[in-house]
Amino acid sequence: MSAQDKAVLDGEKLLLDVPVDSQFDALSNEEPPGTALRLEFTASWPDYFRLWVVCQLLTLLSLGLYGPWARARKAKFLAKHWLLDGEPFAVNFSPIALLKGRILVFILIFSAVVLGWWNPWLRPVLIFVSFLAAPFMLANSLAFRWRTLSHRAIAFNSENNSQPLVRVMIILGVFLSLATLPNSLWQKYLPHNGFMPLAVLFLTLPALYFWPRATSTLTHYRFSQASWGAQRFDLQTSAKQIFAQMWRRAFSGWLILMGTLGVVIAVLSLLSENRDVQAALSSVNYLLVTVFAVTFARSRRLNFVLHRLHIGGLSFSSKMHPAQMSALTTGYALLAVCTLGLSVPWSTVHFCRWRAARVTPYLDGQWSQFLPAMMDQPASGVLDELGNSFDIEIGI
Amino acid sequence: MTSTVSTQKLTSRWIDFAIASRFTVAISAMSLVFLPIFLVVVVLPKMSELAANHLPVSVEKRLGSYILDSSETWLPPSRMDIPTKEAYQERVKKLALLAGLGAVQVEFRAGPPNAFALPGNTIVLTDGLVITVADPEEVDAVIAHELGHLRQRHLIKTIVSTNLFTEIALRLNGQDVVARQMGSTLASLSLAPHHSRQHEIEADEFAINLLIENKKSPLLLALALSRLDNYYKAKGVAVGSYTSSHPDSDIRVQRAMDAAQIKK
Repeated sequence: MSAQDKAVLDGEKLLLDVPVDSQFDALSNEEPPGTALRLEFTASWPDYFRLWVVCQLLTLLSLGLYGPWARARKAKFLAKHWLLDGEPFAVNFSPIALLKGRILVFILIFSAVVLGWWNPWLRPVLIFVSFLAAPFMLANSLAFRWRTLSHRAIAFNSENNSQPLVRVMIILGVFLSLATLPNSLWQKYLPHNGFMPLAVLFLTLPALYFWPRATSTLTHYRFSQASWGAQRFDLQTSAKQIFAQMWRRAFSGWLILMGTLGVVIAVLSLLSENRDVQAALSSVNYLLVTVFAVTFARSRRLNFVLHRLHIGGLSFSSKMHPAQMSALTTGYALLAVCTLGLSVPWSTVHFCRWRAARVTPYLDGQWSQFLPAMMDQPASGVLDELGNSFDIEIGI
Repeated sequence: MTSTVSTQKLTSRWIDFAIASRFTVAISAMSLVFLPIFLVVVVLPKMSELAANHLPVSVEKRLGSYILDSSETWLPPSRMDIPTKEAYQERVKKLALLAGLGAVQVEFRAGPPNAFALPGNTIVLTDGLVITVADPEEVDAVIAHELGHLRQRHLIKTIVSTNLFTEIALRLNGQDVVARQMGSTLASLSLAPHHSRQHEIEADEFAINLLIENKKSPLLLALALSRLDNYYKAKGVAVGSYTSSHPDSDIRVQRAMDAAQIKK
């Protein structure tokens, strides 16, 4: 390996110097070595609907207490219908640990809300503290999710090491907590015309740099720390490279989309004197910019990562079309809102099938190369609930 | 231990049975539609009222001061002279006593015609309001309207109900982060303005009653509202029905005029 390649893999290279490798683009025709395997999702939506609707009602009636058992049932159902080369995945965890986590989440969120209301000036501190704890929660959460998943009776695993996430999360926490400080505090210490540029900076920097940077680091972490049995995941890219790819190939598109739509909707708003029309247009704009465009960027990032992921002789080709995936996600969400959530089982099954049809695993060698390993202690499901409530992309 | 395991197995078997039965699935689906509607229509207003009535005044005051501090960018300090400010402080004091509110703090800010009530018994009046409405008795009618918001703790109720609605929307859409985002957008787009319009009507009714008790005509409120409406129409500010925080001005003015005619 050349020194330059090593620097890229170690994430040492400057962001702007990182080459964007079109060889691994979303719609690349390059195929990894080995035999193509079938990845299928075999569940039917009526079956999942029956399970989902009963679980959801029991969760609602038990004020969330049945939630962990509902989650276990749903996860087991979905896992057993994901087949890789004809063999299903399996999920196995104790709902009791999740219940403890759920109670802890409730106590923490309730305390934070009460504190934030009791003294609103504490809100920035609460935000910062939650980001301080985020690396630990997320590392634990991911470890829990990997360690409860298995295929061919070989369990997945993940190192429970929060260190790679600390810096990005703390920086993000600092910016977001500073952004929530009341204006009067800034005005006290800053000259009058210095406030606005600083406010813009505090809003745009996290949105355009620190948040995508943190989620890119998390995406890298999610795969680079994992293993399947004795075989460690080999992710041939760095967090910086994932971020650079996201910026160059996805965020640039996002900015163009945002700019174009912003102008179109602003013009339409000016033409209408009706506030309802203006509000509806602004909402459409907001949803397109956030939901559609963010999914667009995420799907490109996921394609990029999957193309560079190797687990022993297993490698992947991912052809999830970003625009199609964004349209689907937006459509599912709209449908979920219109049906009060009843469409979620259908959209879950539909999306799993769509993904299964677009990701092809390739096996170089035999399945016998994968051997079980000594399992670490199971990660705590308590923190998984906490990480889950954080709403950062921790889903696997 | 054995009994816990057997209870779990029995429960699990019952749930398996429920999942397999078309009847329970249909009932569950219907419940999932009607229960949230019941929560939003019946439970939510009651819960927000309960929360608003039990919130300590000190918490409300801190929240009010936080909101005011956060609005300094778009509401800079007032340029009103001190005697005018003192005169309005005195008028607010009298009206607040009549409204049974005790001490009400008045804050003055520069900016277009507006007045609003903050948690913790604070009313904010802008320079624009005093200039546009001009007649102090008409400003009293606007103050009476804001006292109505304070007396009925509208802002706290709005904050609580909007947060609870968002929470219900989030729970319904489960793990779908995008649907959660849309649910909260829907909440802010539909429910908050709907509650706000209801609160404005209640505050108008309160103001009309307070003016009558104070031996003043509700026509003062009609005139103040008309002046504000004319100002914003001249500025080309768009109006709407479903997403507007205030009801249609013509309806509000007509109600105040009706009240004035009835009492005349």
